[in-house]
Amino acid sequence: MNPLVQLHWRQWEDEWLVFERASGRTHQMNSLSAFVAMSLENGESSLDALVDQVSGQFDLADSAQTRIAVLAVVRQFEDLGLVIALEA
Amino acid sequence: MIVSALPPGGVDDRLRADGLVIRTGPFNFRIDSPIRSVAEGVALLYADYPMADDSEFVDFSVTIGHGSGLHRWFRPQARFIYDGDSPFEPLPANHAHPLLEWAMNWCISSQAHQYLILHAAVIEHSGGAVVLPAPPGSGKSTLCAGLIHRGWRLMSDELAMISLYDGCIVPLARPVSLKNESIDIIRRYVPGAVLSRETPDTSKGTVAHLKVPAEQVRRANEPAVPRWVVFPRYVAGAPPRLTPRPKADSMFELARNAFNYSLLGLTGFEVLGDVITSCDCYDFEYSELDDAVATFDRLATAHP
Repeated sequence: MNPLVQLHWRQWEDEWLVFERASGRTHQMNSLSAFVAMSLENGESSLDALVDQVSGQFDLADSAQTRIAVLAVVRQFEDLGLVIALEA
Repeated sequence: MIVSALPPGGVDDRLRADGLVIRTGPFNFRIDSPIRSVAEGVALLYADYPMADDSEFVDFSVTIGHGSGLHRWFRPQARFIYDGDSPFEPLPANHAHPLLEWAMNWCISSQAHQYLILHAAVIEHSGGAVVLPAPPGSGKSTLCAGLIHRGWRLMSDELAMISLYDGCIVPLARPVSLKNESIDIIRRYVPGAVLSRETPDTSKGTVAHLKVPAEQVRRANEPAVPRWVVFPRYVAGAPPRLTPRPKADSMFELARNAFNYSLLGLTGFEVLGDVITSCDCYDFEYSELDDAVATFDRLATAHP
């Protein structure tokens, strides 16, 4: 996670909105995006570990598809400036 | 003392002299204008509003003046003047009264940052407020105008002001702006409705303003707790349909249509988040005002 990022969360069932203080932007997230963002916020910096956590959290068997989905979310976060770089 | 207590011609005299200070909700507006149609509009639509006395603070001083130079007489114009500046382009002189209403909206939406201000109508029933966000042309003002004549109280037809302190909605209770076909719709739906003169050829088409019932003006210092967020959409011939809307999506849409959500930063996020948490959110499709009244009444009685 970008060290300048401070996230503030709101959740209603499986919907999330997150406010990023430095940019003042509000992002709407689904369960997967929110979980990835929270994991990164908690200090997770390894893509492999992130994929494992997501697989466990959402009970996903297909690790290849999970990795693709997680990578897509991480790329989106990179575009938004929320993430700098992840270890492979 | 209310505006209608002034002697005949009194509104015009005051507007041309030291100004007329009117209280609308939490704000005192001083209005100055040498233009007769402004005085006529104010005398008609603000008849029941209290005038502030000389000791009270004036929040906004609004002048609707004549056009400058040649436009004082040739293709005469009206100008909005605020703090010595003209925030808007001049308009044709016959748009002077609607210009006053738009100017008052601008003052609040650009400066009253002690509130989170949403682009939405708000009505109230039994202490609970319904926020009606909608883009222009969605029918929210027509809906608002109809409901306030069927047991609902007007809080605002344009600016939903949410207190940053306690999350309550603070009323403005200013005249309701109607456009084009909605003017005749409300004339038929509310026999005896008091409307300003119609102003054609504005940027919004033909506009007129609806006078707020006096008892609702008298309650313009009563806030209300937000209980519902309803996104209305007029669809010709459609049966009434109220469908739940996801909260995150509702909040995102409200934020997009807020005047100062970005300015308020984290405070705006938290205040709006609290509003959404406490509200049921819906989409509402309708074509007949009576259907809308019945739907909203059921909403109020089912979840008081």
